[in-house]
Amino acid sequence: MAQLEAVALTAGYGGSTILNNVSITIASGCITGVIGPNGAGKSTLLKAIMGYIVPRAGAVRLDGDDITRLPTHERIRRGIAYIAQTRSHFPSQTVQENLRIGAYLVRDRAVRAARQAEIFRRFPILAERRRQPAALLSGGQLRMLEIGRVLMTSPRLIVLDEPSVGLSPALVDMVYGHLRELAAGGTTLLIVEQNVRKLLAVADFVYALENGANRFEGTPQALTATGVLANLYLGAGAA
Amino acid sequence: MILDILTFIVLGIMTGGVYALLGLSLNLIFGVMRVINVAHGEMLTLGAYTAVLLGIVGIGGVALPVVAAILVVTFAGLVIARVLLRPLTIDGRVHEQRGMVMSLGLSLFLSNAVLAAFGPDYQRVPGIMARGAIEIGDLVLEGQRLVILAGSIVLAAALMLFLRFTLVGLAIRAVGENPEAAQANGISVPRIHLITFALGSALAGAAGALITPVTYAFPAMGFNYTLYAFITIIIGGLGSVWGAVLAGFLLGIAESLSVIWLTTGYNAIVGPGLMLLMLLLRPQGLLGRRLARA
Repeated sequence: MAQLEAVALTAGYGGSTILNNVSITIASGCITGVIGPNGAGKSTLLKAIMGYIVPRAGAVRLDGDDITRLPTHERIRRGIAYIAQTRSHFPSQTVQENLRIGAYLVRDRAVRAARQAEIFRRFPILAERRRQPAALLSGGQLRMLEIGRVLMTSPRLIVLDEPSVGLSPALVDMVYGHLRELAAGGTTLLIVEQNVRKLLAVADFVYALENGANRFEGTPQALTATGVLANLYLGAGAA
Repeated sequence: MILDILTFIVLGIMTGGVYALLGLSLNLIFGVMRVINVAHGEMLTLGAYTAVLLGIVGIGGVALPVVAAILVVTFAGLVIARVLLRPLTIDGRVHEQRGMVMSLGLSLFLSNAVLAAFGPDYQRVPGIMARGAIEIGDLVLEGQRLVILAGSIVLAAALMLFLRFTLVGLAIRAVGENPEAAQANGISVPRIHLITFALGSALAGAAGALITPVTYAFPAMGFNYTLYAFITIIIGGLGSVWGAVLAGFLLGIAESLSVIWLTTGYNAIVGPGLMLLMLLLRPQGLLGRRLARA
């Protein structure tokens, strides 16, 4: 069943158009990946899905409801969580305060305490450093904090913009291990990545964008079989 | 001489409380909304005239005019934020230049509105508040000045505790640090902007009600306080809470002490002078971060 849909989105900034008639469907309980070279429109697509920009044409639907013009914070209220590419946390606030901000919409104190305890069990280093400002965390610890932050709302759907960016291979494995676990627990994931190999290893379904348009959709196996990948990243001549 | 110095220091601490409160509230508004609010002093004017108005109908005392000023200016702040600032807000920040020009216009509008309503005369709140003094040896502390100091400290502390320990305070800090990320946590940035602007303005309004019993209220009084609020946050460091408090008191004391060497009236150069000196020697202010951000 489709949980989130972007239908024929055309979007950009100011006068320029970056996305042209792009459609993707995120099925419930799956990991959906979006890949594409720099400038393909991946981040713009996420911004339109999250409500940071209003598309010029097309629609975003969540569980069938049109949310194209809903402000970002209202989308969060409806169960989407978002981890931006950089600075999805608050550097001058402590680890604990970052988690508290993550639970902004959670009114029940007992629920918050239980979720925080669960996050600290998952990431013990965060418990150790709970009173320190997030600015003092390492890159890997920040990713843990960002994942922990969105888990405070127990979201149905998590949207991630390049979760591997700036991390060592070992840390990328760590992050993807946690993402796989979340997916196994029933959370729907939409992941945009530069790290294609890593994404193809976990995704159930992949979209490839090129120059702001849909280029491919299918399973990772189908994608590798078609040779689209080489075309995308090495240019048409390499295929 | 020693007594003079002590007296001037004490006087300076008392004015400093008001500067600190103004700097703190202006800093809050700038830090969260990025609006360079040139009309901040007019919020103080509105608070002062609320006290004057209450005085005219015979209501005085300490708490009542301050509470009334807070209510009136909170309302004014909500209207300004909703009607004038929201259209200038892009990606969770007020457009800096447009916000500043708008607030400049607002400042002129408000001071002239007060002029039209109350006339150009200097107004004073009569009576009860200005009475009384405490004497410690030869040092005389006027009752009302103590009230101003206590009021400023209580309000500043209340603001800090609010920002530090409440959920709304945390949301205000989050929006100040990164509005896009704040939205991604379900925080409504427009709502936090409304609260922040009303809160910051209300504190300036409260300062206005506190000071009118010892100074005169007049339509253009706000401009000077806007200036001093900016001097305070430039000396203390843009965005630094404790910097504003420290700078407010330092500024009050320096200005007051300078009267020993400079004639009253000429000591108005002390504040701007200190600000220029600070910009030359330490542009980020006493407790501010360096301007160049990585």
